[in-house]
Amino acid sequence: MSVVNLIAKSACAGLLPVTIGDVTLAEVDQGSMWSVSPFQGVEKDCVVALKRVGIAWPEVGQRSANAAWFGLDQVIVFAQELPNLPAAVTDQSDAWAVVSVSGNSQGVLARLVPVALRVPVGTVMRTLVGHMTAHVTCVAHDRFEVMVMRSMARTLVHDLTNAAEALAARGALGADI
Amino acid sequence: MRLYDVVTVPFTFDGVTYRGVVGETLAAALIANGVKVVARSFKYHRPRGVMGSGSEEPNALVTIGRGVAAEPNVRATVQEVYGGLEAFSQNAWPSVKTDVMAVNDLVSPFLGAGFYYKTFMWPKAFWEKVYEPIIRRAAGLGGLSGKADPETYEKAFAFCDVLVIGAGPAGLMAALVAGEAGADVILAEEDYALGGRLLAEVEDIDGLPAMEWVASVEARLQAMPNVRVMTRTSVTGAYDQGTFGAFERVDRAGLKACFWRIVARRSVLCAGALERGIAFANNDRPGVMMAGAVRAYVNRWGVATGARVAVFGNTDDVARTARDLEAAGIEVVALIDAAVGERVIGTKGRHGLTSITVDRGRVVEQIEVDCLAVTGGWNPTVHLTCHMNGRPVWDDAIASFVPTPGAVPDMVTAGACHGVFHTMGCLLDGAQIAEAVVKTLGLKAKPVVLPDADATPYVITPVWSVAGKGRKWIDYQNDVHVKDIELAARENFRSVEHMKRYTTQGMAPDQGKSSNVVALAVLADVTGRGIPETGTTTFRPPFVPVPIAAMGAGGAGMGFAPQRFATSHDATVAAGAPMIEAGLWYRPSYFPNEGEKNWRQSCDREVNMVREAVGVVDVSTLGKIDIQGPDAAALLDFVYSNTFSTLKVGRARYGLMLREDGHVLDDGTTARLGENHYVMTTTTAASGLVMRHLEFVLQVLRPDLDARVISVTEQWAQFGVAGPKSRELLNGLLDQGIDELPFMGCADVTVGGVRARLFRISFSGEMAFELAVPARFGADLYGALVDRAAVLGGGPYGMEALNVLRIEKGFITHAEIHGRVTAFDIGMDRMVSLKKDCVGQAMSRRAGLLGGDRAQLVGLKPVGDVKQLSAGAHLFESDAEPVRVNGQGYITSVGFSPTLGSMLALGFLDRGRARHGEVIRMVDHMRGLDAQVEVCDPVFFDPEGGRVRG
Repeated sequence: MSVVNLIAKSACAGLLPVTIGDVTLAEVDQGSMWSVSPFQGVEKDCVVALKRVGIAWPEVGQRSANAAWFGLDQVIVFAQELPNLPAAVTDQSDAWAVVSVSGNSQGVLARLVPVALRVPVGTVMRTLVGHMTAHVTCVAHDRFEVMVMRSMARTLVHDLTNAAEALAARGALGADI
Repeated sequence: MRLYDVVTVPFTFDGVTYRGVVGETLAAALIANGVKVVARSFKYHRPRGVMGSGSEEPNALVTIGRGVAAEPNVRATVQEVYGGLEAFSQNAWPSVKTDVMAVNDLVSPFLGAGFYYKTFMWPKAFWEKVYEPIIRRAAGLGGLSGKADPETYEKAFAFCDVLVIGAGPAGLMAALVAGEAGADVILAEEDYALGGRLLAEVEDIDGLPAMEWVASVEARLQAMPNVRVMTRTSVTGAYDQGTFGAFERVDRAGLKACFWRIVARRSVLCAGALERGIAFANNDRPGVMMAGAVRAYVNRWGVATGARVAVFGNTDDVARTARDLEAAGIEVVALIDAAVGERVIGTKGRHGLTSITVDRGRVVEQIEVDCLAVTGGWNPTVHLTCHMNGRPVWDDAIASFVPTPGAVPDMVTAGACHGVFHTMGCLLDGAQIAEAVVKTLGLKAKPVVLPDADATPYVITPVWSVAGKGRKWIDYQNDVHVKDIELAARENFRSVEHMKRYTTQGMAPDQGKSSNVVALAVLADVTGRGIPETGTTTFRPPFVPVPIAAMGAGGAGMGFAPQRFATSHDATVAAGAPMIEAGLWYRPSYFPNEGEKNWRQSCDREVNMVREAVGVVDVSTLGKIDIQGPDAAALLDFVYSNTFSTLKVGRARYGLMLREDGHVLDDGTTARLGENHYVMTTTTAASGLVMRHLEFVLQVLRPDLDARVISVTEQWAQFGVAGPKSRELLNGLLDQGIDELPFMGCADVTVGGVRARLFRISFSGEMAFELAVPARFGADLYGALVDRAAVLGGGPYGMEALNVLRIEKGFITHAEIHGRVTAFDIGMDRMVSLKKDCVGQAMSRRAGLLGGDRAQLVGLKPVGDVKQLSAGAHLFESDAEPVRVNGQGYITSVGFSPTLGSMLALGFLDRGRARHGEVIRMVDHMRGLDAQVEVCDPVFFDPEGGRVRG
C-alpha cells in the first residue's frame, strides 16, 4: 500500500493561459512523449514496427499525426505506450514545457525566433526562442507550439508575454507588423 | 516662416515654446519658427543651423526628452514633431547662442588636423588623466544620463524574397514589379512617407502631381498580402548571406524603436542620392543650406528657409530651386552659376547668414541674403554596397561614385543610387531591375506600363572648392575644412584612409554622407592624382546611428538570460531561502531558521543535521544523460578515463572525463540501468558542455559506435537524501524497502505508485540516496521528503552546507577542476586507465602534465593566530615574502567545518602531496589576510569512509 499519493503539476501551472490583444498563450498537455532513436542500420524496422501500431514516422523537419522530428536521428512519439523497438526509447513526457501561441502567432514569434515562420502546417523547427533552444512547430496557419526545457517555463512565458504586449501596442496603432 | 496656415501644437527647444505641425520634422518646425542656430559644431563650437532635410544632416543634432529618457544626437531632420516634444541643443554652454567653448574657434589656427597628436605628447601620463578628459569635455556631442534606459525597445526578425531599400520612384517601381510577380517583398523606407525625392520636388507623373502617383502605387502595394511596407525604417547594414540590419523608429504606443534583422534572398538598393556641397569660405553659417533641402522645406512642408534667398551651384538644380522658391512667393535675390565660373567667396552673419560675397569674374559684390541654397551635385548613396568591402567606381558622367555590381551578393541597385538622375530613368530602372531580379527567383514579372515623367538629363560641371582665404568647410559634423586635408597631404598622409584618420573626416555617425566625395576631390587635387586613383574611404555600418538599447532589446532584467527553476523552487522560496544562480539554475543558499542571525548559523546547523540525522537537497540541476545502444558501454569507456564496461547492472560508478588536451573536463557518477542502458550524471555547470562533448564524440570521433544519447535532466526531479537517518526516511516513504541496496547501487522503485529511480550515492560522506521521479511529481515529492525529514530531526539544506560537507570529505567541484588541472593534479591519475583508449588519454601522458613540480590538490587548515581562510588566496613558504615569484599555489574552496570546529580549505600546492604536515603561509592580498596553514590530506573527515557505507 502506498504511503503517499503524489500530485502531478504541469510545467506552466499557475502561469498560463493568458490572452494579450488577439494572442493567446496556453499550455499544451501532450500526454506521454517518447524519444525514439533507432540504432544503426535498423531505422526501417523501427518505422515498420511503429506503423504497425498506427504511428507514422515523420520526415525531417515535419510532424505527423502522432510523431514529430526532434533532431538528428531522433523522433518524438506521442503515445501512451510503445512496442519493443530496435531503438533507444526514452521517456520525455516531463522534460518539456509546451506552449501554444495562437492568434497573431507569427507576429509574436517574429520577435523571438530567428527563422522564417511562413512555413507549411506541420513544420518543426529546432531553433531559438529568445536565448532558449526550442522546438517550434507550426500546427495551424495561425498557431504554433513552442517547446522549451521544462525548467525554463517562466522565461518562455515572460518572453512570449513581452513580445505579445509589444505587438498589442502596435496593434493599437493599426500597424500589422 | 510658414507659407500657409496650418494646425499646430506646442513644443519646446531649449526651454522656449514654439508651435509645429504634428508629424513634420523638428527641423522644419524650427525653421518655420525662425530658429537659425540649432547646434554648436563638434570641435570649434561654431554656431550651426539646419543644412539638410534627411538622415544625412550633419549639423542639427539635438537631445530629445530629459532625465533618464533623454535621447542624445537625434537628427532634427528625422525627429517628428508631437505635442509636448522637448528638444535641447547639445555641446554648448551656457547656451547654443552664447557658448563659451567657442573660444576654440578663435584659436583655431592652432587646432588643425593632428593638433592633439602633436601637442599632447608629454608628459606621457598626462594623456589619460588630464588631456583626454579636457578634450572630451570640449569636443563632443550629446551625453547619456548614465542610468538604465526606461524606454521599451524591440528586436525582431523578418524574411522575404526581395528586400527593396528606399521608396523613391525606383524603389516603388521595383516593389510593385516584384510584388505583382508574386515575390514576398519588404519595402523599407527611412522616411515616414513613401516617395523619396518626389516628396520634395514639384514634378508631374502622367500629367498629375507626382505624389498622386505615389499614393496610387502605395495603395496597390498595401493591397498585396505578399508585400510589407515598413516606413520609418532605415536599413543600417548589409551582412553575410542576405542579412540586413534595419532600425525602425516607432516612438509611439510606449514603444521606442525596433531593431530588425531582415533576411532576403535578393535585395534591390534604391537608396537614392545625397546632395553634396561646395567648399567656400565660411560656408557653414546658419542659413547656408543644401539646395535640395531648401526645396524640401518649401515644397513638402510649406516652410520658407529665408526671405531673401540666393542659390549657388553647378547643375540645373540652381534654376529648379529658384523656380520653386519664386512659385512659393519667396524672393530669390541672386543666382550664382558655378558652371560658368561664378563663385561665392565669403559669407557674413555669425548667428545667421546676413550676406554673401559673390565673385562673377569682373565683378565682386556683396549681396544681402538670409539663406543661401548650395548644390555641388549629387552622390549616389552607395553606402550599403560597401558594407562587405566593396569599393564604388568613379563615373565621369555624374562626377561621382556609383556602386560596383556584385559588391554585396544578391544585391542590385536601381535609380539614383545606380547613377540614374531623372525621374523617368528611375522609374524605368526600378522596373527593369526588379524584372531581372524576380526572374532569378523563378518568377515572371507582369508587363508593366511605365508612367510618363520628367526626363531632363543631368548635366554637371564639377566644382569642389573655391580658391581664396578663410575656412572652407567640408565635413561639418567633424569640423574638417579644406586646409586640414591639405595639411594631411603635406604631412604625407596622402592615402585617403590616412587622410581620414588624420583629419577625422567622414568618421562617426555621419560616415561622410555629405562630405566624402568633396573631401577626396580636394585630396586628389592637392596630391596631383585623379579622383578615381584617390579612391574612397570605407563606408561602414550602421548607415544611421542605432542605439545599443535597440540592438540589445529584451536583454535587460529577466531578459538577460533564461532562468531555470527546479520543481522545489516555490517551496524553497516560501521557506525563506536566499537563491543563488548556478549555471542558469536557481538554488537555495541556506534555509534560515527562526532565531538564526546570519547564514553561518544556518549553514552550521544544516551540516550538523546531515551528519547527525538527515537532510534533503534538490539535485535536479545536475545534468542527466540517458545513454542506450549496443555500444553504450564502449562509448562510456571512450569518454571516461576509467572503465564502465565492467560495471554491473544495478550499480553506479564515479567517473572522470578528460578533454582532448588531457585536462579534466568533468566528473560525476554513471549508473548502469541495463545491459545496454546507462544514465550519466554531470555537474550542474557542465551539463550542456558534456552533452555537446558526447554528441561530438558520436558524430565525429567515433561514428562507428552504435549508441544514442539524450538529455533527461528535465525529465526527472531528483532529490538527495543524506545522513544516518536517510534510509529510515526512505523506508517510510517508498513502496518497497531498500535495506538491501548497497553503496553505489541503483534500483527502480515506486513512490505512491509512481515509478522512480533510486541511487545510493553520496556527496556528503554520509549514507545517502538520490531519488528521482518524473518532474511533474517533483514539487509534491520534495514536500513529502522535507516533512518526513523534519519528523526525524532533519530538514532541507542548501548550497552552503552542501559545500561544507563536500570540503570536509575532500570532494572536488569545478572550483577545483577549473580547466587547468589534470587527473594527476587532483590525485586521480590512477583513474586514467591505460588498458583502453579514451579521449585525452594520450595527451594526459605528456611530459609536464605529470609529476615534476606540478601543483597538487591538498587540504589546508589554519594553525596560527589567524583562523580565517579564503578562496583565491595564494600560498607561499612559511617565511617567504608573499610576492608573485614566490607563489607556490592557491586556494580553491574554503568553508567552516562545524564538524571539526575549524576553517578548512582545498587548494593546489607545488608538490603538495609530498608536503603533508608542512606549515606554509596563506596570503589573500585582496582581503588583507595572512595566515599560517598546515598542509594535509584533502579528506578531512572520515577518511576510511565508514559512514557512507552505513
